Amino acid sequence: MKRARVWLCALSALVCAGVAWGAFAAEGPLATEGALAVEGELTAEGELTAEGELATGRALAAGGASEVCEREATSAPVEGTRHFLALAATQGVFYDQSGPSFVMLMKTQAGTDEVEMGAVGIYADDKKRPVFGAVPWRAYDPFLHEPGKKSASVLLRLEITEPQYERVLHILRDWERRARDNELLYPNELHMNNILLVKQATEALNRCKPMLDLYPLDWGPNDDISENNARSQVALLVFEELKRRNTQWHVPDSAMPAGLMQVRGSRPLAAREVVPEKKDIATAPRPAHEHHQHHHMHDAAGPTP
Amino acid sequence: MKRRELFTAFGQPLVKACKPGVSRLASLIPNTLFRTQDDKEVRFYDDLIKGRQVMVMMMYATCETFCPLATKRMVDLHHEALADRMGKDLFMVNVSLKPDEDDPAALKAYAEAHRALLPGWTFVTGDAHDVETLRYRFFTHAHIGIDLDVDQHAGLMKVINDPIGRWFHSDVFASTRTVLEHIRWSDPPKSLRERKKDNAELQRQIDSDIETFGYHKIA
Repeated sequence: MKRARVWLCALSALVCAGVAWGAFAAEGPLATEGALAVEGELTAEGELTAEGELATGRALAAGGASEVCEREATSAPVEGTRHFLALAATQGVFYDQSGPSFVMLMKTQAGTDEVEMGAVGIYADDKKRPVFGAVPWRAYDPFLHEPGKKSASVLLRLEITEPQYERVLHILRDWERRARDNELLYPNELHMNNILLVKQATEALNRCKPMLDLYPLDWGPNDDISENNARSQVALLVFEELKRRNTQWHVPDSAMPAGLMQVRGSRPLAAREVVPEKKDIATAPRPAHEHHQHHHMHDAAGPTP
Repeated sequence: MKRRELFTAFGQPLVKACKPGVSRLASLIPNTLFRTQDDKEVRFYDDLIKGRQVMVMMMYATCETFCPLATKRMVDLHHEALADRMGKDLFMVNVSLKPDEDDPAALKAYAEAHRALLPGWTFVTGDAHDVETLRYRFFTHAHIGIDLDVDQHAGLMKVINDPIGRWFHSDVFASTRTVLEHIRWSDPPKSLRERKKDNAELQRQIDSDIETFGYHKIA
């Protein structure tokens, strides 16, 4: 099975939302039989959590949270399409014994021989220094399979709905753009960006219907992980905690599409053409003084760690 | 015995080193497109910041807590102490925190309602991505939880002087004296002649105070 990457598939944020609305069946999310590897998920009804609203407030602003969720709930899922989100991290790579940690998305479609996948977060460059941005395929490839029981790595892999996929994709694209255009929200603190990305991505899953038992990653009084650990360790520890809380949601290798498991090591296809967002205010060319930086991770022919 | 200068740059006007257009802030401040309350397209850095001394605040039109108070405070300050400078060598930019809700018309209505359509004042809205970048660049608390809350950034102000590459943080709810002092800190450095004149005036005041009271009274 070949694969094309997620990043340059031609959807704007608004189009993403539109597609998302079309993904739920009238009787509830994931109505397609066999779409999930485990039983009984996503049946709980519920309103938005305060955290979810906070993290994704900007994305919701255009349509309103309840309106978007209503449309999601009344639209049909796309037959034969499966979506996965993986939270992956390892340690012992960087100078402080922390390691890469990132959020990864995968999408398979029946009838095609392609899988879309991509990841954004912190990975190691060729000198084992942490870099934030779109993760090169060779860096996320090891996480296509579950790590061994004695491994220092953690992998929580979830099967998600198309609206969830689109929401997280929107967030990842936004962060990839920030990394590429030198617009990181915390330009002097790499790991803060990653923590915020992890917070936004995980909370986006729960936006319309509670799915995960989330960890309160907000530096508040209940956030013991952030309180007691270095920032570089936080993502890994949060992934471990999320996996502990949501074991029933983890999709093992045996329940993954066989084709997706076999792409490891193969060079990705060229990215798809990007359709620019339909916001007139953002369409003008960028001025010369804006420095576009560094990591164009998804250049298939580019160097990889 | 011959004397040797220990310092070589003494007495040179500091302004000389500050060339417009080469500000270090250019790489920190996004230059993306925004729209003013008059629906005019502007580049944030090039059109609003470059070569200017600017106060930047964030607000949103439907805000009912800090924003109206902060705007009123700055309008009052404008009339009390800044009217002669605003629009000439000092400017005010209000950036909408909720660009998806605030179109130029909403900003204009807000400005009119708060009598803030004043010389040198600009209200802008733009793409949410760019506004978020600005919000974090100017007003981050370096705290994951607090930074996500847009209400935490209303009422804060950055005083930027682009030609000399300085910016200062200020709280608009501080005393008038404090806010004016923060603005003054980012004023362009004075020439040697002006500084000598100010120092002479200050020394005269000190001498007079000491003669009258026995010590220098700080106003």
